[in-house]
Amino acid sequence: MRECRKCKSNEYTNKQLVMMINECGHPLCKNCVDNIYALNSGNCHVCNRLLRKNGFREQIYDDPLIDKETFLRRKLRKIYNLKQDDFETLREFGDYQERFETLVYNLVFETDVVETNAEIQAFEEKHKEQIDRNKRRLDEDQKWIEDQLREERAMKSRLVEHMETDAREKENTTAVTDTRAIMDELRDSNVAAEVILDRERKKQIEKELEEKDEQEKRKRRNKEMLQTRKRAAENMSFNTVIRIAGRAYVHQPLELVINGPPMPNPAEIESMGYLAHIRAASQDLIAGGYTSALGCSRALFEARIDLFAF
Amino acid sequence: MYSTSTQKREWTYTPEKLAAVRLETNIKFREKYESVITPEELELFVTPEEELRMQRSIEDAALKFADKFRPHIWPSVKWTALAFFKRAFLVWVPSDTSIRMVMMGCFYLAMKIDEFYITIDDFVKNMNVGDPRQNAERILKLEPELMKVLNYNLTVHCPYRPFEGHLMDMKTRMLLLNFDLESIRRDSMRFFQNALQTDVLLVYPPSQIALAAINFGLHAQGKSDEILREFLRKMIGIEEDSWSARDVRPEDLEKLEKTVTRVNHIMREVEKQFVAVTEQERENHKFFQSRLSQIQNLLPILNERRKEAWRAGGCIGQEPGLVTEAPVDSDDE
Amino acid sequence: MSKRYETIRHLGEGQFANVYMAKDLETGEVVAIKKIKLGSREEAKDGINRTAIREIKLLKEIHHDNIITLRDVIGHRTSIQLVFDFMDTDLEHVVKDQSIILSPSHIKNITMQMLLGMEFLHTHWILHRDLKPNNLLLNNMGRVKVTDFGLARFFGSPNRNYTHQVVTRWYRAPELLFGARSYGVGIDIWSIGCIIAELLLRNPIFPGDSDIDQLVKIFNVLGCPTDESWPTMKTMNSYVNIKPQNETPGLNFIFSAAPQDLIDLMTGMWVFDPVKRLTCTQSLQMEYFRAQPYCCLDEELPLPNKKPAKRTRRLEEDGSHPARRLIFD
Repeated sequence: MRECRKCKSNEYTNKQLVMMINECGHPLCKNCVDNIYALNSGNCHVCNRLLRKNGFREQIYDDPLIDKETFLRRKLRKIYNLKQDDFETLREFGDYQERFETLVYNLVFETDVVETNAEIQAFEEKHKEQIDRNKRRLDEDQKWIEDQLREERAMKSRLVEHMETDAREKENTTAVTDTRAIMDELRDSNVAAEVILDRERKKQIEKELEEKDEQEKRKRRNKEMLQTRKRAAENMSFNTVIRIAGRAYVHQPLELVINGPPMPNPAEIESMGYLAHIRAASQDLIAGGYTSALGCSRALFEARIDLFAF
Repeated sequence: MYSTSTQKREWTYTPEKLAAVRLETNIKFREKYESVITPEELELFVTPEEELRMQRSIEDAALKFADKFRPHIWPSVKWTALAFFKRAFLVWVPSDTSIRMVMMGCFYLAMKIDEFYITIDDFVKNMNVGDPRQNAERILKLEPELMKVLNYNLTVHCPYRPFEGHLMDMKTRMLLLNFDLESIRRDSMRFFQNALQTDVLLVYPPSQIALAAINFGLHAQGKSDEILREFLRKMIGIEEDSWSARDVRPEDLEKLEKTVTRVNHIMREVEKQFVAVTEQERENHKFFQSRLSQIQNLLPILNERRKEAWRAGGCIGQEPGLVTEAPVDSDDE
Repeated sequence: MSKRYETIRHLGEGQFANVYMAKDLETGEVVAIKKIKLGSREEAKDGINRTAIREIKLLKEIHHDNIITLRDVIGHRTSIQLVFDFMDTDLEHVVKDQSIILSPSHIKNITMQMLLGMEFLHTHWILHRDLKPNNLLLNNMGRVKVTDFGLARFFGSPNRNYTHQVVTRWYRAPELLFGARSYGVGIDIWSIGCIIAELLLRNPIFPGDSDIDQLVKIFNVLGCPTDESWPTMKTMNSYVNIKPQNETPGLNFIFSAAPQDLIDLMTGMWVFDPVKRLTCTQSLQMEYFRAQPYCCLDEELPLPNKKPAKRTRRLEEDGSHPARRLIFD
């Protein structure tokens, strides 16, 4: 159970309890943070370190050490963002990674803090250029997501444009011909002018109603699209919700977010020898379309889903 | 799949949240009667801890029932049934229901969910208490109420298939083990059986529970965590001789460590929470039962008192005992 | 009904359920409500009907644009009501309405929507097991949605036997007709092939009037499976040797107006050996979807002009016409 060591409030006494944590890793509830750090800085109630109010963030893990570690990791990663191709050899890259772990460890357990900080500062100065460049380099994943979003936006605007030009064209043609025709009719025909105008007025109203209907339809469609998008986002599978009309469709197989070790593909299931460890499907099962690989992949799939959800 | 399931979204809690929900349910029930109860009557009411212990002893009996059930049921049926049971008693309290009957209802529903075909008549033949016809009637009457309290979230993801997946993966990837991996199965199944009498299925994903069962089986064979580590290294793709062989991404190492920590944590939780029901407790259980039936006998009287208080107070607000408290309302055409 | 929904009209009645059109007073949207009967009647003697339970358990878990959304479940002492999206019509009505012209780009759009929905289901290890035109609903925005999950279930378990008495006969795959105990996504793909054919022909392609006749109708079009094309077929329970009565005309002859890429797609969906049959993902990657004519916009899909007074599809939904739908379990 979470409890603030300062004011002793806990999750039972305070349903809205939010625990905060700063770089030294000593949790404090939000109320205490607001009180103690009203002047934006103050000393930690445990280790007396000078802390800034804006350094506090919500404690996510029960163990404050993990929170501290992730915080430090994230902070250090902004400096230690070199990629493999920044190094001549794999070995150097490996050394760099290992050193990074050591630094994190030092800071988490507060050993040799002064030296460690000095080293980090030196590293930052020495590699300034590379660090800045890597900051600008986006991860491939991020890029992919951005591409998808851009694609979606482009498609939507194309669709809107398409509909708008259609509507405009239609309006122009009907408006022009209609007035001319009516004028002609008024001049040439024997029908009373009122009757003609009345008829035209009715037509006008009908048309307006139709347009309204059309608009309504469009609105509903947009709303539906939004809802599905929201639901899809909740489900975290990037499925192509917006359909492709008027151009070639290149299908991307639906891939589910596993949040676990990668799934072996069907060829690997065979080549790695998985099938030796599952009861072979009998001939009559295979005849129906059930193969051992099928049962195997479902078991492997379920063993992986959210294995890395912590 | 589990990650987008109602199980994860609506029925997975942190241990703290779980305790809070149980406390709240218990308090809500007490509060309902607080104004009209005498101190002696209040003595009868049970605490959340007592309720939980009560549930455990029903679960214990239910697992025996499941093992004796004919025709044989597959393990996922009992996992599903106990998941339903645990979920239901986050909303209901034992004092307000027939806890045994709810468990039977959970089993009957779980069999339907898991495509285990049985008629209600064959089902009640397996019950050794009560009159078959009455039992059948009560179970069928409970069914819609149970579905409602479960918020119609009826798919339960069990750890048995993930367990087979992990085991298959291990057999395929760990070729240099000097023992037969099948030998862990018995202990792993024992682990699942114990886990069923704990809260782990309300807290962790089935893939992790399954891996804990594997590790439990390995420990029972006198193995250390090293086999689990090696297995995870292979699954994640971290080479043994990592520094010189290839780059290891720190996040991979982090995953490895966190998984090992989590697996051991689940094992500890099961060990800590699973307390075998003793003879002594079975006696206590009978005592509980009588206490519960006293409460249950008391409830109509208390409800009557609440109604009187309500009338005396000038009929303000909703009449007690209507709509909100009836699990299934009767509004129908 | 319930306070939130206001009944507009009755749409149909089945053995286990009544279906109503209703208005959701909270959102103003029109919905379809399927009311499952409970109680002590003979059919309900084992409690809540299994098909209803299957629908609830699966539809609560999955959300996709091309799969009907279960918006709400309302429980009463004597009934359970499932609230779905309201859909204007279904493919059976579209196919049967002679005034509707289905252009190649309409058919491509419908096929694609169908496959996207089914790919989603199959990826989540769910088989539908009862695909047919009247289980594919269509709304006035041109959205196709798969419905009726009363026979659907998870697949991929080695030890469990499944009944072969699923899928309305005309859309049933040959392995089911041969009594297969276990099966995979192939049975749904076969049905999709039959539905595409029906969109083209405006009539069912294999309208068998018994299981044997069904096989004969299939073999008359596709020829007979051989030991090479389906090596394991003779191991199935109810395998029968059937000789086709005459030479098969070939799909190009039957679908004389269809482009070759569409014929290729159907051929792939009707491969006899289910292991070699196309999957949804493979189908979507076929040349057909990359070639002209391209898909139309959803809203261009045609709808029947007159809405049927009562939708007969609902009548069959719960197995009240045993001739067309065998009851399972």
